Amino acid sequence: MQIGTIISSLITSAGPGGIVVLSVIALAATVYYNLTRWILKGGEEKSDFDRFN
Amino acid sequence: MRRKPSFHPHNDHEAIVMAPLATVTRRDYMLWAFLLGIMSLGLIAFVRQFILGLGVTGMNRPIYWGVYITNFVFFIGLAHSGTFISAILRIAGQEWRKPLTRAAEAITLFSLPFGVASIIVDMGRPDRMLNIIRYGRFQSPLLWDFTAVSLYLFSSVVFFYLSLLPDIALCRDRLTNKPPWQRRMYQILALGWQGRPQQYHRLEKVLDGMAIFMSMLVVTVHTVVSWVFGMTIQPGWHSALIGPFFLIGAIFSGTAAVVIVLAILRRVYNLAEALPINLFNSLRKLLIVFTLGWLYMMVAEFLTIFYGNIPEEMEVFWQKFTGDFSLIFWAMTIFVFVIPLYLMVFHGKDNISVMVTSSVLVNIGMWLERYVVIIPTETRPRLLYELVQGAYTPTLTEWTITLSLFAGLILLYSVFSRFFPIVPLWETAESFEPDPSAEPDRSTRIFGAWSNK
Repeated sequence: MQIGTIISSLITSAGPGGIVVLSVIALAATVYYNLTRWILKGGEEKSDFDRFN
Repeated sequence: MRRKPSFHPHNDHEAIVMAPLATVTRRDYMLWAFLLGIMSLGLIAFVRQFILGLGVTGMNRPIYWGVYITNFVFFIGLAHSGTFISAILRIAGQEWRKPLTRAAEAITLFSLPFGVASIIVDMGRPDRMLNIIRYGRFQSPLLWDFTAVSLYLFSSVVFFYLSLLPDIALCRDRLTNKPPWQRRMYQILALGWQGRPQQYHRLEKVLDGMAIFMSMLVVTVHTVVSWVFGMTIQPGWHSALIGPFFLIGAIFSGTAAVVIVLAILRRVYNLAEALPINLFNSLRKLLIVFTLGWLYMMVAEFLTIFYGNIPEEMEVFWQKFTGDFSLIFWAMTIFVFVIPLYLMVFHGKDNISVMVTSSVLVNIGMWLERYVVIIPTETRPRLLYELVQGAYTPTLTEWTITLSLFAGLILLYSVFSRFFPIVPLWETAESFEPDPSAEPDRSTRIFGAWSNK
């Protein structure tokens, strides 16, 4: 199958868009969850990040 | 295990800001009951619409979008206030914004659900809403809209919650005489916040980072909302200017909404010291700039259409200027531009009443502006404008649901302001140093652990 056909079907097919929506929200949830944990752990103990810096 | 006492930075206005949280008055309960009553009417109207179909609205062929979509665009616009005040001014290093950040963010947080609700109400078959995920396709601007608004709502909740976290902990530690359920709520929501300086340091870092992301989102969201219109080839919508035009209108009405809310909070909760008049003066300058910016966008939009003189475009153009929608169009112009600009420039300084009057007019005008952008185009659609000349009059069902959405926004806001400090105490704190007059106590020496010197 040609690459153009694949890209075209990705854009015109019903379905892939929904997966992108869910992926974006899931990625945001993961990032925000970890950021919140990182904030709350501040001063509790040295994190790996702090040890290297 | 007993939790270590938390550290809370010293704020001179703590007593004033925490005072509204002391009791929920009889007047509050009456207001909430009244608002719930309006919301119930809206729910009844919606159920009736769901059973009988969209025929109970004024929408018809070729007018498929009416008051509900006007509300959607308006609520999403209002939601830009928090991000503008909190995120964009944060990046710009504007310190004066601090006392009003939470009040503005709360508008964002509580407007967005009603923006989303407007879409659901507009759908003839709301039960099919999840089809946008099941069968979502990239060609559809509705998919981009759904993605952007969902992400914006989610990010706004997180941004709001994180900046509220130290103050929830303050409520947990100070409001110990509250009912068990309320203390439990503070305890759970505080996530064990201790107020360690490193926690504050990290919180500031994350909020700074999120401010940049939120600023990008705010542009994306309203541009994408405008593209739902702009990607069609309908006269009046199909313009590259529609994105920036919607965006400036959104930030404009959002900032005006902040003025209204601040003035109400200031008066009802006696927050004059915590929300000084210079905040209103700063917002006044911003609003004057936005008024002129909005006028510029309007002139740019209509002047190019007028000189282009494309027949389909001119049909809609004259509908607005001299036709069926001229009353709304000129009322909008007077409410958004003429009166507010005069009042703000000549009488607005140090005068909260004038600022509130201007802001109320701006918001009424901006709602009319959304209406006058959406409906006239639909009454004169491209290609069919000579054959089909639609008309639209909103019905009682639409007005009832609209009223209930606004009632919901006010209800959420007033309930929130009775349970959480509406002025961010930690961000406006005078000192982050422990009180030197306090009894030296091991358990309060949290800063020693933080400095690690």
